[in-house]
Amino acid sequence: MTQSISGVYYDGNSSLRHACRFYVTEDGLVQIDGIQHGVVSFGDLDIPPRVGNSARILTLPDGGRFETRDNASLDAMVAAHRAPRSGFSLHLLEHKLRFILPLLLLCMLLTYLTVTRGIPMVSEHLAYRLSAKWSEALGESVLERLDAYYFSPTTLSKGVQEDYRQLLDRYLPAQSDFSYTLLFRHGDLIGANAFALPDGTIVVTDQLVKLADSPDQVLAVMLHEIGHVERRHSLRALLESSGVALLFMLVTGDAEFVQEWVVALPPLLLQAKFSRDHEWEADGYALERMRSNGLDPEHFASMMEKLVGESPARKEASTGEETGPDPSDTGNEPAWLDYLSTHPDSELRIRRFREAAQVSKEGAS
Amino acid sequence: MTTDTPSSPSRPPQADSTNAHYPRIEPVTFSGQAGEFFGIWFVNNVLTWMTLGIYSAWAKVRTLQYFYGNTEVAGGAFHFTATPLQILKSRLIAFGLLVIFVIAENYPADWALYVYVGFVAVYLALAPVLTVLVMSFQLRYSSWRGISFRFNKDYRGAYRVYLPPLVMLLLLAGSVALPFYEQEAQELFSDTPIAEESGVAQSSAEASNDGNKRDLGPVKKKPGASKGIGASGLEELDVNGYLFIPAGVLLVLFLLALPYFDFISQRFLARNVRFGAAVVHYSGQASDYYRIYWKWILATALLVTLWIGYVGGPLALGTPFMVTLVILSVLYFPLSKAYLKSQRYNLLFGKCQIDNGKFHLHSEVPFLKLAYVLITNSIMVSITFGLMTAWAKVRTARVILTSMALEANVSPDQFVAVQEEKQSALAEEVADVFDVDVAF
Repeated sequence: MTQSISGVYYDGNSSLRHACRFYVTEDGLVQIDGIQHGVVSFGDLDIPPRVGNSARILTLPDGGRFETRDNASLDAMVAAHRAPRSGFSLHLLEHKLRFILPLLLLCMLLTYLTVTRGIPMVSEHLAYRLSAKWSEALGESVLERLDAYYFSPTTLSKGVQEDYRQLLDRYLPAQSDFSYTLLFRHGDLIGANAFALPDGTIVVTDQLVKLADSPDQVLAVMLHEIGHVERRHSLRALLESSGVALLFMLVTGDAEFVQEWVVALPPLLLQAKFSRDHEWEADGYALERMRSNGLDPEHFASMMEKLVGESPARKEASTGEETGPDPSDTGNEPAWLDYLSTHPDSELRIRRFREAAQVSKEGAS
Repeated sequence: MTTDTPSSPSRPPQADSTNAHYPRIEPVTFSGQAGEFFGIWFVNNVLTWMTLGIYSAWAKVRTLQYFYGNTEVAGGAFHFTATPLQILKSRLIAFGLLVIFVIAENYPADWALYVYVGFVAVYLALAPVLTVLVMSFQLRYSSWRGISFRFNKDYRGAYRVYLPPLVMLLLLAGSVALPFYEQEAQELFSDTPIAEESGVAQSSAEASNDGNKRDLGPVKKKPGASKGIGASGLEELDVNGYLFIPAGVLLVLFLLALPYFDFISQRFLARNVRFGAAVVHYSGQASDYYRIYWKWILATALLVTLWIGYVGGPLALGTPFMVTLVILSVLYFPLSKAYLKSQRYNLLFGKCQIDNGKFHLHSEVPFLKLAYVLITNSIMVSITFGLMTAWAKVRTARVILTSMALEANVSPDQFVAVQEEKQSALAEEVADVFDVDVAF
């Protein structure tokens, strides 16, 4: 049976266009309408691999070319006249949903795991391997910026400040790569809050001190901040967003059609998630330290409640350092906004410490 | 999903172009489909990851073949004919160079610094040659109607076109760095060797030295100040404001010359293209370029003025004004990108005549439509974490390609191929090596 496809013939020396049909006879020889050419066996032709439905060119030994978009008939011709190739066809892989869909699902799963598990894990590992100097370098000049834009000098007396410093000294981690300094500032618009800079500087606002019923409540917050420093959250956050940005760039490739700023978006969206994980971890650190030092975890829970109650709808001071146990606005927001929140649900955090307090009381009695 | 139904032949056999009347306009058509390309793009990505990048050469060839093969004008599709192995070879060499470069950049030894500086210098010095080789590679492996394109290897012309902006940019960088590296610059200038320079500071200091030669005036005018800076470490932090003047002047000069630089570079690219034996003539004028840049600079200046007016206070305007201003500022970058891209495309392609005026290219990429496409692309690609990349590529290509047309005054049947002038195998190899990936 003779098979044929329609297309266009060019002789390779001029752009003269012959619309014609291309035949392959039963014995596998090529014939082209109205074109003189030597005896050519279809099996000897170099057939370019199919790429979607784009036009393909068959080059004859004498330099003539036959261009066709009838990819289906050409494929049928190849199947009929040529020894089957090793069975692997890129086109089928690219084209059949039964290959693409499972692969796509697998890739999405892998990407999800990479982003939620892999990148945080690698970042954590890296952050601990890098010397503490890297963390400290991140904190440089942050305090100046905060002082310039957010804080005013503290109104607390020297004595009160000294009391808190001595209190903190007793509860500093025994071995640490960081040296801690406690500073007080008037928080202005930020209100009651505490900050840890990556170099171990801990800033507590006057409002937080005044809000607290007891020094132990402030201590609970400070332990949470120390947790941020000890666990190197600033450096990890930086590594995590870089990782996500890198991944995104690798996926989109030479994204010339995409505005450059878009590369920054996915890390930004995921930052909230990473930040919540870090808050939870810092809570865990504080809880651990309070337990081992015989402090009642209830202090943290009651302080959180006070912060939630006091909380003005506050903006995050998004200057790159970790913010304190800032309870995010409670309740009045649709659930999907949780995803954008930088702090875990306050209820959950309070319950965690309450339960811990309960357990330790039961253990004592 | 794509189907296997046979697509109809591109033209009915009888209605060949020989019957047509000339002059006529042959529109460019693009038949790529986002769904179809998604499969290609996706498999490309997966295999590239699985082979640690080796497959990227195949990925590139398949992508280009898809876009070329779906672009048609006057009944003929374009074809990309380079083989993946050629591209793989060039990528491996480029990767090797990149590895040496990165090691040299970070290795704290003298030889590494020399290698690094040598790399940068050689790269800058050879940039025009590389441009020519890259163009040559791209065009040599592009064909239409069985005839290959070529690029005339005019190295001398490349230097004439690319050297002035390069020198000016170096001077600009030097003059911007000058105030911060005043001391080093002076030491360099008085031939005092600087010990223990890090790589970055070294190159910056060199750049400021470039600037210094030109900007002698301001430096010499203030001998007292320079002595003070040399003596006291604290004063070093006080950057001498006057030293920014040369940078400002150079910046203005550069902006003034930018449209002209763009003009000569696009003209250089266009007029060295050959299709078979046919030569391309470029009829664009410098004034065309000044026109489009002038509008862009005007819009930029207007926006900046509005901001200054708003922040500075003399314009007492309400919230609506503020909102409009913010929206305008957010849209500024995508809009100016789309504007410059579309207008430059139109000037590059729309002013080309082929074969002594027998053919004219038309290019009318619509600015606002391109802006819309680019902005929606960005949004969709980012909220789908990259999954819509294939879709974005296809629709960008469609909006640009379908805005082009070939005006044929005679039948496009009479182009003739040129037998490749026998290049030495070495030149061929070198040209192959410097595929597009030379841009580190």
